[in-house]
Amino acid sequence: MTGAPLIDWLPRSNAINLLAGVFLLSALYAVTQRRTAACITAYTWNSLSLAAIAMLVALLTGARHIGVAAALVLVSKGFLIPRLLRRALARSRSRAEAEPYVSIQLSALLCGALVVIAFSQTRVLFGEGVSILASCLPVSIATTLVGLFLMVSRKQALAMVVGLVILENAIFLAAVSLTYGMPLVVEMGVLLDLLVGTALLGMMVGRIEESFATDDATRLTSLRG
Amino acid sequence: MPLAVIDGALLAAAVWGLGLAALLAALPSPRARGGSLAALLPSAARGTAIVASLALAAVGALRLAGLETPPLTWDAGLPGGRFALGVDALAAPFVLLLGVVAAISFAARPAAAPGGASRGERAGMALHAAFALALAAVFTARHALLFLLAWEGMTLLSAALVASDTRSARARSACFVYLAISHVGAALLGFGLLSLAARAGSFDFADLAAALARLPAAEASPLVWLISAGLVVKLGLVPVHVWLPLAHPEAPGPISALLSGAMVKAGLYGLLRFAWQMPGLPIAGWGMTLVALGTITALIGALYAVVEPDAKRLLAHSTVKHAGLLALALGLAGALARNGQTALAGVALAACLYHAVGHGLSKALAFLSVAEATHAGGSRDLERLGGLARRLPRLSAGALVAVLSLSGLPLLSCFAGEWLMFQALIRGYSEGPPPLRLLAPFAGAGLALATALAAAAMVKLYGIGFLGRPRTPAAAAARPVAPGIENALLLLGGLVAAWGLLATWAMTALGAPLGAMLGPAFDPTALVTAGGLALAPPPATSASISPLAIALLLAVFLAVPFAWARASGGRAEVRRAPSWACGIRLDPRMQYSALGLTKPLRLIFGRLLQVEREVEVLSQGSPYFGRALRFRSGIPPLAERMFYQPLVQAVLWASDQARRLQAGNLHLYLGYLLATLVALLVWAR
Repeated sequence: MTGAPLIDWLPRSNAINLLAGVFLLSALYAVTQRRTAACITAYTWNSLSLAAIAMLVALLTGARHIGVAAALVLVSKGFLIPRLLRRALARSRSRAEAEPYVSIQLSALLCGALVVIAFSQTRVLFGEGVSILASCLPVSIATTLVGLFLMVSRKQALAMVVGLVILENAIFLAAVSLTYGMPLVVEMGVLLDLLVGTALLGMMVGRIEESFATDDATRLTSLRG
Repeated sequence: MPLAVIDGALLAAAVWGLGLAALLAALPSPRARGGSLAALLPSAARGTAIVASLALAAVGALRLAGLETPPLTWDAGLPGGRFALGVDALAAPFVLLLGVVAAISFAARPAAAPGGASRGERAGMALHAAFALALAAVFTARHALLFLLAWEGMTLLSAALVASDTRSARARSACFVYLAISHVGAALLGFGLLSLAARAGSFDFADLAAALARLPAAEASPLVWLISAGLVVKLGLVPVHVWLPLAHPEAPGPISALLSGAMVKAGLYGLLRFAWQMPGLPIAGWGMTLVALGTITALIGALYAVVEPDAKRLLAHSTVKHAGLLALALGLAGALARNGQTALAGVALAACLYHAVGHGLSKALAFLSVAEATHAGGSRDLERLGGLARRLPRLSAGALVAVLSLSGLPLLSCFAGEWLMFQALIRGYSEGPPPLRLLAPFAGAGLALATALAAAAMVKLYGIGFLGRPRTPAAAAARPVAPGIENALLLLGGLVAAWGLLATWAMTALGAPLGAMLGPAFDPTALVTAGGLALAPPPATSASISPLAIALLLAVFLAVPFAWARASGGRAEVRRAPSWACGIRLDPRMQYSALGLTKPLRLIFGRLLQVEREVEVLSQGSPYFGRALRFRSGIPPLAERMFYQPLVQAVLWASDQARRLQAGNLHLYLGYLLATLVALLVWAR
């Protein structure tokens, strides 16, 4: 479904590169913010840029199913999931933000290193841009690592959930950039999963708070047999 | 070649007969048709099994006589060639031994009661026949996959037979140890053989040999070491011998006879087949390793046999000792053959093969007779037996032959093999390669000590268990053994004597397998001199021995004094009177006990054995007036203390360390994910 003229034309359009930059920077912004609310905001921007990239790809390649997926991303990741997360945050009674495992400054540094690794290794692994979305692949891998790092470094359960959903966004971007998206049924299934998963995680965070009077996930260690 | 046709038919008859016997035994007795038919089925199964085993022995004997037979083949629908069963020169002595031991073991099974066999008896007989069939398949398989299947079948069936007394916790735990160690061995063996088969693209033994010859030495030798390690488990060398003294005594007597008489030799057969009889083998260091391991095994087996109070377990320890001797002779032969000294290697290998058969016959007889005796006397503990020789004279005669043979006395089946081993060791010391010269004196001394200790163990077994007075009422009331069983045992005793007396002919008959191992450079007729009447190890004859001449001399020297006494004074009158014991009544407890007899050895080897003893004064009221003493003594198994306990502790320690990875911390787990991902990104190219 990719026409040859488009491949010639696309690299000249810097719009996708710009949006990919927004995607990565929003993830990095989440890492540098201590407050969970700011992380959720970062996630919103992350999702919006993802939806924009997908929409742009749909317009440029004329693939309708990517367009539908982009619309679904916009609705679910751009609005519903941030809303679920904010509601969970609002319900949360513990206002004190636990200190992350890694200080903010060090986090920024480490994530910079992760981004460098991702970019250099993607070139080694996949070669120079084959796909029309060549710039998006290193971004998606870098964002995967950053999302995972967010999960590792934060103690609050809700911030870890934000890391998880950022990671999921990155995987979606990787799928789009490598294969122009998965079949629509799969995309819809994944999005539904994510929606339900986030709702459940929000509830789980509530339960953790009830049990431990804090949403500090490190307390879960005491459940170990 | 009509004889070859008969021979092929005999092999088929043996295989199908054993299978049929297993099926017949497994069939439920038809109760409705009355008692006579119910008893007929088990008898038919037993008869079929005996005939089939004899056919198997005949196949082996005919092959030793030089008759080639076409193999039986069966297309199992598996890739890699047809399943094939055939007896080649190397397998022939083992097949002969298996046939004889299996036939006697079936004959020595108790006959079924007139009302038909119980479920347990039927299952026992079916497993027994199936086990013999698996053993026959191991020795005759010409196809690696079939060999592995038969090997595993042999292990599983024998494990089931070991645990046949399901109420005994000791049998269950012995079965577990046996299975655990055997599976490690089977895994090593299977890995080695299957990777060789993968290189060969075929399971046929000849193709495997060709594939091994093509492999570079750096790849071939690890495979051979792996295969050898797997096979050594069945042979029962230190440190993987621990299952043997546990499992062999727990099975019923006929099964113990098969286990010790034939199954242990399967390990030896495998070593000969897969670690020697292939191009480029034996590999460097293989022979020396076996010599060292064999010496240690023989010593440990003999030492533990001496101090063991349980009659059947004593025999199992003695099996470990003889497995050590076999490994020693095999390793010696391998080291010498690798050095190009074919004639001398032939001496050691002849000793190994001869002793494999000789020990198989003697140990089968020993296990069968001792199992019957301990069953009749009501206990396996030597301290609770005694006086059986007077009560069961025919059975005891069989046991005496076995015990004398296992002590290594001349004229019986274990002597010539051990004598040749000594000859080969002495020659290997003076003429062999340098590392062997270093090891041979230790091996020789170890062999001598092990032989002496084993003789002491056998003296203890017979002296305490069969001679003297009964130590318990149960032993005094030992019930008689069925005459059929006694006849079978005496027949086996005759075979043990024949194998020893006719050692020179036996060596000549072993020429075919020796030639198969050592190639055309070896001359089997060089082993005997004096017109085939004396054994003389080549190359330069320095010593020779003739069992027949010794027997003749012995007969003459016994006959002359008797004849002289007869001629001079006639038969002296025999007067029977009670023994005088300083005026007090003789009590069985005045006899030497098994513990007391071996006390000096216990003291000498105290540091090694680490005997545990505990004396407790049982008193009523005041501790100063003891009413009775309680003495408890035990010997912790050496290998378990020095090898298995550290192994188990190391595994537990490693598990504890591994558990630290699982700290239960969510972030740590996520960190593992991140680290793995980054590492993969960096290194995966």
